Amino acid sequence: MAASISKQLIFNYAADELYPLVLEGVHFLQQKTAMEDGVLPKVKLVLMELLTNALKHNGGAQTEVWLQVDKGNIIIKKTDKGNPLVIHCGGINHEWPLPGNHQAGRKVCIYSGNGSNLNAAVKNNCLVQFLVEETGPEETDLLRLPEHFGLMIIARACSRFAYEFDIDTCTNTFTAVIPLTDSTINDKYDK
Amino acid sequence: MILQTNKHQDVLVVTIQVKEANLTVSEKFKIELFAHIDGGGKYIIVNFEEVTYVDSSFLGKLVSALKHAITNKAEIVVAGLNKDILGLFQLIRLDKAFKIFDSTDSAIANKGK
Repeated sequence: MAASISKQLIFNYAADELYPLVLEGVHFLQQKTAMEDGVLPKVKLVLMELLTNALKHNGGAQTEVWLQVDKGNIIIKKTDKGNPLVIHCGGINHEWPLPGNHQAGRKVCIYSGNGSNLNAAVKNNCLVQFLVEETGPEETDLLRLPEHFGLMIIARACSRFAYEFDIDTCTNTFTAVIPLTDSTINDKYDK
Repeated sequence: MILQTNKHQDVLVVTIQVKEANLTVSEKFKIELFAHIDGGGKYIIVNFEEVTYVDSSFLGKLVSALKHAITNKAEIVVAGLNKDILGLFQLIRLDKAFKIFDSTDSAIANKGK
């Protein structure tokens, strides 16, 4: 990994390892780099939700997490060879890699409600970027609130959040980017 | 049991007795909280004072319980959130869905207002 600072964490699919591993990652970053007050809680949330996602969905595969600090950003990469990403949307399961050759530009809504959507913007058959789309004021009908928040938490805590499936190695990679300066969450929307 | 209950007249305070409110306890949390709603609790304060962190699966169950409370004409409020947990509620706008109080005392004092 060509980055100025990096650390690897190994998660062995055990719930009791999850929080200590989050703290290990946070402690490493505290020691190695200066960041604004609001950044560390976001790092903690992203690590926690990436590992929770692994525990819920990857089917027991060992998970590696890489922490990097580079060019004013904390970059968190989670990789495993477990189950690929599946998004349930409108009664359809979208499983990666997506079939066919003309997927770029598609948008798949992952969650909707409480004044925002979480969309998966398809870049190609193997790569998606998660984007928060503000749709209006918060939900007034609380019975319509979503009950799934994992990917939304990560997407809101990051400036960039993406998933890629490597067909050659059957590896899943989630990449989350958090600026070291809290006020520079400036890349939330696709450009 | 992960919820310890205390009744103050017609207010039920349920204190979460785990530090890590995560996937491993979320289903149990939901079952216990639903049981309190089904048992007739009309103003339930979920007390997070002992909780260090909350994950998305636990929050999902809390929202599920909120909906169950609404359909049973009951109210769920939350109290005792640490700074990180409050930040998480704000991040995903759940601070607009739940009434949030610093302490159970202030949540009790709010009842009926």
